[in-house]
Amino acid sequence: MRRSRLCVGVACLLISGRAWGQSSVDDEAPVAGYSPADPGPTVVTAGYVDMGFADVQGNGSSFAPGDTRVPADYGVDAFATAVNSRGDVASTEVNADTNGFLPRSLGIGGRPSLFLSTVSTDLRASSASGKYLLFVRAQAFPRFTGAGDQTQVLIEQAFARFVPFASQEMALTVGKADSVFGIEYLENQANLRTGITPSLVARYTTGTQLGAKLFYRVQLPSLWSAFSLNVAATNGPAMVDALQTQAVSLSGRPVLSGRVGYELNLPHFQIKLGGSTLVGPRNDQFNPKTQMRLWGADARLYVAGLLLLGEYVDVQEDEGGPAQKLTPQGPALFASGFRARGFWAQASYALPWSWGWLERATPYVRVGYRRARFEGFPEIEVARLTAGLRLDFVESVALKGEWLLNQERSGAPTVDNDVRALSLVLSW
Amino acid sequence: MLFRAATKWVCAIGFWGIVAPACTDGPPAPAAAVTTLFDIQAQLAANKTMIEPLGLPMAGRFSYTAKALSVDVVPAFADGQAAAYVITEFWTGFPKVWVQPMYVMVQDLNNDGALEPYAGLPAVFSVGPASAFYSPYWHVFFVVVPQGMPKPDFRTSRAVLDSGYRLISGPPRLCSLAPIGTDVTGYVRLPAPVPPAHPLLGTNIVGNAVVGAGWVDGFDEQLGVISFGDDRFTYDDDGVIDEAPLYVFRHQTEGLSPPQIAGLPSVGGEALPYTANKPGAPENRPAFGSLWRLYFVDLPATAGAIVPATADAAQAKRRNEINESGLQAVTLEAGALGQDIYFRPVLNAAKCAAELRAALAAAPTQPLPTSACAFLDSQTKMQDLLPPDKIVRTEILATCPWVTLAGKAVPVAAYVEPRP
Repeated sequence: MRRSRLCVGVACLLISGRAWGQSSVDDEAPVAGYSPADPGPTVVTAGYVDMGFADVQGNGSSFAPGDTRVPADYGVDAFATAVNSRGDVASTEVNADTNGFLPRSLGIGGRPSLFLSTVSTDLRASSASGKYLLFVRAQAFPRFTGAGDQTQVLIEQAFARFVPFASQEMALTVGKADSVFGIEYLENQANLRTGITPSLVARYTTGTQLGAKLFYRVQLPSLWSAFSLNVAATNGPAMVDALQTQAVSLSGRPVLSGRVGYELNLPHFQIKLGGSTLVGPRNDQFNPKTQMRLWGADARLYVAGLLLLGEYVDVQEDEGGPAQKLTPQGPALFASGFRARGFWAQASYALPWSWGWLERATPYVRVGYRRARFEGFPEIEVARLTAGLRLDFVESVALKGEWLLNQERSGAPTVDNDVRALSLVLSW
Repeated sequence: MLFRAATKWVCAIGFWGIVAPACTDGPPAPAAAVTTLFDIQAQLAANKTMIEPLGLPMAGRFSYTAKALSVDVVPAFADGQAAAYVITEFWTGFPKVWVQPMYVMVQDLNNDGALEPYAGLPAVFSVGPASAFYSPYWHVFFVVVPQGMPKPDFRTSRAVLDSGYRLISGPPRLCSLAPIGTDVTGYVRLPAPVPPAHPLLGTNIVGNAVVGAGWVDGFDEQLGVISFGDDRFTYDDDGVIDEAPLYVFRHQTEGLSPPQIAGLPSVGGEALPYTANKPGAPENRPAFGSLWRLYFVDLPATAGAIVPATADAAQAKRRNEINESGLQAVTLEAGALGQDIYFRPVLNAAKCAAELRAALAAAPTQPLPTSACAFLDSQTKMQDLLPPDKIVRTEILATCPWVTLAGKAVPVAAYVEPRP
């Protein structure tokens, strides 16, 4: 009986998935044995289109006029002017050499512009027993930058998931899938993210990873609790694809990552806590001895319609050899030693009313902080306040508006780089 | 092969940090590839006799006395004439070195565009010596402090840029950051600056260098600065410093390896090998040669130098180094006439010495004829007289500013004037 109640509680949370930010094929979703039996083999397509608008101060980047230091991306936070859910920034234009620590750019600079952020299509095929799942997510990113048309089509995810035991909440995933580090990856997709832009530390934890991962969760109905373990061995770390690739293992060694979680699921109060770690060679260079280490802690609290989320991340990367750096954006000179720490905390509240086609209105606010230092360069300390409103119309239309207040607290020159962004997400 | 790769993955996955070291192989990742004067001082303080990671001897390049570092004046030749340089930085494996910004505070006292240095304000350097992107090649930006504003206390690039004060592009300036107190070996500063003598010629043809201190991003205290002045290097539109070849002689004795660095003075070129672009040296302040790429020149056993029969300590030391490397140090007593040929690298030392002896015997006071001597004392001769495979390009870059060129002292000049 208690177990049934627990399952209902979990299901409720997942139905209100946006509140918990669950991915459509999230590891934390119930697997076979905890779900109604499948009627038969199914093939489902889904997807969304994310259209955006942004108006960014200054020249759309965080590079200060007159700052000619080299590499230019070591002296500022080039990721600060994010304008969409992928963390793409308004501009990375700079008149100095950089060294492979740049985000993707929409190339709009400081000029207000409409853009098409993402066109995403999912194909999901599952067996009648529910034991097997095949999932492919293809995404197109129309882009136009100073280098001309930079449109990309990527296979964001492609994996097979196997649930070996009907009586156990266990799943083995092989292929390119979500990270297992922390919780922000759960909101990678624009249709799932409460707001528009990712946090200041999302660059380290929200990349998809190619390899194998194992998820296991044990329920303790008598305590209304569950413990989970999620581990992965992958080509590269959970960094976004602008920084380190997943396509190949440059060092020939795997990156190992994992998260342990605890959750308390009371009918009107839920809390989830987790700790994550990642170790392995940097996948932006070739020496397996050049390691990186991440650890993090996350918490989610849901009570009476209020959702509080937060995460702390600590990143350390060893210094690599010269003339060895290679990122998805091309070769760079040198894999510098790097250290970063940061956190974000977000509060959102789904207002308890609807009006006509407007089904839900969710105001939210997030604070973020990041300290980072490349070996031999001054430490950069930045903070950000994000405030916004998400409006959900019918089932498949979300309109979001967001304001990012960026602050260079130390190290980096002060620049005008606040962001105002809109996002219209149409799902099917 | 496949099994081996799979084993490495399984090994890594299975042990995951518990006994992970047992799964590892190969040497650790190479260290930072830039060697600064701070590194040199640390190595000397640890009684290292060789420069790490280059493997070149400290002796003759750096001195460490009473816990103070100094850079030795190293004799050389350039364009067929006596020269000398000091060494301040090395890079290994780096394909290029960038110019970095430094900020010099100035005032426009009469509002007429004539800039005056703001007295008592140290310069601000944007990249420190702990970074692999550290560079002693700076692009000066003059920070115009408006009249009536309080005396600024700029200590970081951020502070300068956040001030909003007008920045004016200035000249390129060669300044090496160094531990406080670092100087040129033998330089007397007080009561008046007196540079040391040329180490082989013994004459006063070594130029000056300015020592001081400045603020550096990422450091809470000022660092030492050795300045060799403005217009001592050139760079391209991407800010990459133009390099020139520095030819370092070596010899491999049969049956022994590796080749030994010979005691012959090095030879500085003016432009990339086999190119004709020579920046020149107005007022004997060369815009070339501050950033060198080392080229090893493999000499045959017939090569060497003519050395004086009566040698001082520095000359004797260098003569012994030539002999120990397997090359020829042929003694010849030519008095003052020999000053121009002593220690000049020559491809046919014995034949050259024989001709000189004969000439001295025939006419002891006449200028020495050198037509039989195949001197290797310029880039042109290096390229003309040696097959290309005897000139080996290395991945070592070095900052070695000239202090003597064309047999004369290289002066230091610093300008307060806008430059494009």
